[in-house]
Amino acid sequence: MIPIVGFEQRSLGVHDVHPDAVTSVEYAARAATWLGDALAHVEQLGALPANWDSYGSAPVAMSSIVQACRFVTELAHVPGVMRPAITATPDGEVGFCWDTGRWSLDAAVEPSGAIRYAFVASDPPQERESVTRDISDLIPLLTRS
Amino acid sequence: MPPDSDSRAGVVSPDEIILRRLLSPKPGAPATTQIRPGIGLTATSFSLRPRRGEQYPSWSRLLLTSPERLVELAAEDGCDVRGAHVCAVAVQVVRELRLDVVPDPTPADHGHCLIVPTTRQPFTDIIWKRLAQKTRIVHTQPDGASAA
Repeated sequence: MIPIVGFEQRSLGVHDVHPDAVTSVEYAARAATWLGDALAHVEQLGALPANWDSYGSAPVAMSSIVQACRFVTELAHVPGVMRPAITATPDGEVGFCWDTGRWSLDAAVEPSGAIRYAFVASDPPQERESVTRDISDLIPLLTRS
Repeated sequence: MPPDSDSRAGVVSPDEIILRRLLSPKPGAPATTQIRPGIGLTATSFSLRPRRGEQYPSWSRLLLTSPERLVELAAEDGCDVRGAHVCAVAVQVVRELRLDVVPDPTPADHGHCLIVPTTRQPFTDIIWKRLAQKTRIVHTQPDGASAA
């Protein structure tokens, strides 16, 4: 286990771990109940060896884990954001996946903190893939009904 | 320039099924499968993408490589295959997405093949999402049992 100082506390507010969090997003005072499990899962990804997928994937970069903890903590404070599936990308980044049947979104958190995401919706049809550092770009997609 | 599907069409029959391993070793246990409402259990798109520096992602032809053998190959390579899944997709579906499948046999895996982009469809993040939604899980390695 790789200890990530500060992320064991479940009562952290979003601005405790992400001082630069954008203020255009309306945050809840308390995090979603899934945050603790999500943070633990992200941290565990650091134990993966190189080639864990048998296709030559890179180990998960510590910097991506730290950035992903910030990302998921911020999301857990946004009302309506569901718990994501948490994975590692072949390039050693932390990946998050959501799929409601009406829309799906995948986001990879790069070591720099940039978030590369792909969004597909069926009704109305919409596709978008982009890179952002601003979580507020994702909120309308992740809180879509 | 990527291979063009028109020059490769017919090499791998559209009726064929291709396979890819989805490993999720512990500790870490990354999600390599995802329940999609209305679809079922599929691969995640991240588990299908090539890594940076890798031209084309590896798959295997069911005609020549069974799901069980595909998992064995990873175990022989020293990977933790407990609880591994194998996902499948039809070559025709890959081509409907304007990607292509070309054979690339190796000494260890005669069914080894590659998904390649075409002049009509480059590799994008969206295309891996679309492909992942079309996959189905066809094999699950028992948790705690080794394939080798």
